[in-house]
Amino acid sequence: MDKILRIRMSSEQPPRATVEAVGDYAGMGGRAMTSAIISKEVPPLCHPLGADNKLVIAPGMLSGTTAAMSGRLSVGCKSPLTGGIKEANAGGQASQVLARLGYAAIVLEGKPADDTLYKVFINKDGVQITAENDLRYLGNYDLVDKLKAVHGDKAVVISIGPAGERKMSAASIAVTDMEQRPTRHAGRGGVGAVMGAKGIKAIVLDDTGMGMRAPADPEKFKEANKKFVAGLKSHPVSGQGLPAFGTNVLTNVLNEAGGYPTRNFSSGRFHGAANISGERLAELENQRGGEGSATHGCHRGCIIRCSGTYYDKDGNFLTKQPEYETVWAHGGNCMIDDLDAIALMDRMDDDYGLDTIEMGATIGVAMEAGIIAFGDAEAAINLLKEVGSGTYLGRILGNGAAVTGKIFGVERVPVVKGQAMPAYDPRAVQGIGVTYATSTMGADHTAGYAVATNLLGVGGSVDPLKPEGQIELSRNLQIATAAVDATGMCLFIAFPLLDQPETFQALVDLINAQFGLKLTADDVTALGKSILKNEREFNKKAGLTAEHDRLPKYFTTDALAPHNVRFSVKDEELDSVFNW
Amino acid sequence: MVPEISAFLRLNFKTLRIAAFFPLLQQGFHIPIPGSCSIRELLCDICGLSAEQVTTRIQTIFLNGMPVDNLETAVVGDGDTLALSAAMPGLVGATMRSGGVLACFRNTISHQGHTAEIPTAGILSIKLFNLLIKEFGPLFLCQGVLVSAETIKNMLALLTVEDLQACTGATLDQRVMDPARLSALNLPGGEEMVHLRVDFQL
Repeated sequence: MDKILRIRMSSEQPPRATVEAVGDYAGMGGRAMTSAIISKEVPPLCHPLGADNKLVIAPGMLSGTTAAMSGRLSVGCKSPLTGGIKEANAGGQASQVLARLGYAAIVLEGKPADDTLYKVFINKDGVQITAENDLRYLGNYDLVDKLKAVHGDKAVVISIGPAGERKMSAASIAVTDMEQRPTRHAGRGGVGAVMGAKGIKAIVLDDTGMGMRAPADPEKFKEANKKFVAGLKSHPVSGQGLPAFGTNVLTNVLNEAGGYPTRNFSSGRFHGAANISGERLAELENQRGGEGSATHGCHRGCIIRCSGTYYDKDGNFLTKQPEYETVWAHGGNCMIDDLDAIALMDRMDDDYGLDTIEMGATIGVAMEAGIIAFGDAEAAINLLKEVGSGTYLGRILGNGAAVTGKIFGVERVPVVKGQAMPAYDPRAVQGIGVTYATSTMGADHTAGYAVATNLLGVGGSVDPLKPEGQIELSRNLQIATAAVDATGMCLFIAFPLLDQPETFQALVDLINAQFGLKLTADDVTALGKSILKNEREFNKKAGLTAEHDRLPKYFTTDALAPHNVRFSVKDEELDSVFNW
Repeated sequence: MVPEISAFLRLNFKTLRIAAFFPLLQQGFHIPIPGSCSIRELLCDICGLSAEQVTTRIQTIFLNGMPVDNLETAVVGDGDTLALSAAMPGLVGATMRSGGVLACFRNTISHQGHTAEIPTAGILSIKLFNLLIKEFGPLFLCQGVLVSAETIKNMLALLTVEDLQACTGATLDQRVMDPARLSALNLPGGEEMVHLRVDFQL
């Protein structure tokens, strides 16, 4: 990955594509790359949809190699939703293929002079950019079918749906999976809107003729990968629970804990949770699609296979197995306990190119506003159709929960830095509230992940039962997560790394063997810190202050049933998270 | 207080048709307990799980909705609800883990301290989640569980053709019943308690 592709949108036809050496960005990948470029090259006060913003698409440091789990793609920009820096992350095939084509990043720059829509095609022979207005407003599924017919069944597509073309702040960027379906999304923060503002509908990748990226030390790499894979397979979470039930395995547990945000975050338990649990979902998928339908990997090299395939009542493919966040957002948060309705909304989100978390939270706010009733699945589906069609109401909803709440006069809007909270109530899980509040990304459940072992000091100096531990833990987890986001690794390697020091060491050995380095755990920590430093500095210059590192006030005043708890972490403590 | 049992239903299956019992096992069933005891005593001494199973397989435990970190000091008694789960993914999965490094993240809802043991017999509600449904469900069903008649009726109504074909025997209050007609069983009404025992002849 020794080159960067820059595509400059302007009045020039076709847009100019320049390939340059990585230069100062050498050795970076994933979130390290996106945050470095955005913090260095994007004026923090620019308009997110304007010419000065950039969209950076970067594979991880280990993407394109034979390392297991290395297929995550990072997408970065100034976010139209939060106004701060954004890195959104997707599975699917693009990261592996882009890395094998030799690109450390694609950078979309400038602004087109008119509303011409472009397709970018990249293979081993180079880059072609063509005007393709016949793709306008196509949903991602029809779009991919059309592109497959032209480019064949090996092509990988990165695309936006009509939501991105209309520059809605909840718009995602889709990435095709191993079956060439647009089911994996860089969802959060409106990255799809920025791609839409650049006039790019789709980026098609074909790595035919390219080989896997070769490690500097093949023997050490092979040995490290073997240990890494063994660690993942032997762990009960990555080796059994996730393949059997997927992420939605969390529904019963969160509900039991009283931390399952229900009815727009007004209580912590949903009476219909069992009907939409991971256990029920897996059973339904296996019944309709045959045994094994509840187990599926989103990219080649994935051995955890936490995803699955959802078929409708007639046995036809409907969507990929909805994730926990999606089932919650369109389910319990809206008082809907119908898996078929939720799966349909998941499909619609994928097709229109929308963040499922933001859309579910937005529909919850719309229900609170009385636009439709809580529990009305059909009405929720119709609201999504409005977003897909770009009606005036649809445009409001498609810009997220904060905008919708403001327009309809709703007080209780669960957002931080303008981004909707995911599926864990911060009053029940106060530590995640610390991460929601302080993360550079806005309310984000993946920003402070349980990745590092005691080698990185996670939990090493903290009594796990003492409340004071939350600040230090959140800090260390955010550092560790930022580092992992740079590698292209899926965050579900977290549990094995946490529990098994030898598996964490295998990850460090993989990086060392790939690049001929001698990194230690401290170096991995330093990487994470440098990423967060870039992001914090950008956000500060963009006008985000300590006052933005807060949860909405009502989380500190309104008690959450069944435990009747409020968010009680003090502002001074939140302000100390990044003191290192 | 141990409720009166209105009916005794016994089912035999020639294969492990555990999916048929998923809703019942995850939504909760009851077992009688002789008096309050620690969670460890309950699981090992009363339910018959090994110490290793308790340590390695049950990694997330809730007592009346509160995550439990200490199985010796957390006491269950009449009317309590115990939910058991395998290790969960993600940050919040790690947070809910029994005795996990991230337990402080949920300190406001964690089960705290001791409860006095009370020697009165009663019933305990148990919920099994995810991997534990298949791993421990047969054990509890084989020992016999107490479930409301309404729950039994709902469960029987959802039995598939394959489930019914695998059912080799059924008795209700010791009267032999036709397994093919399980969904039409004449059970007591609503919240009346039924003792259900299921044997899987593997």
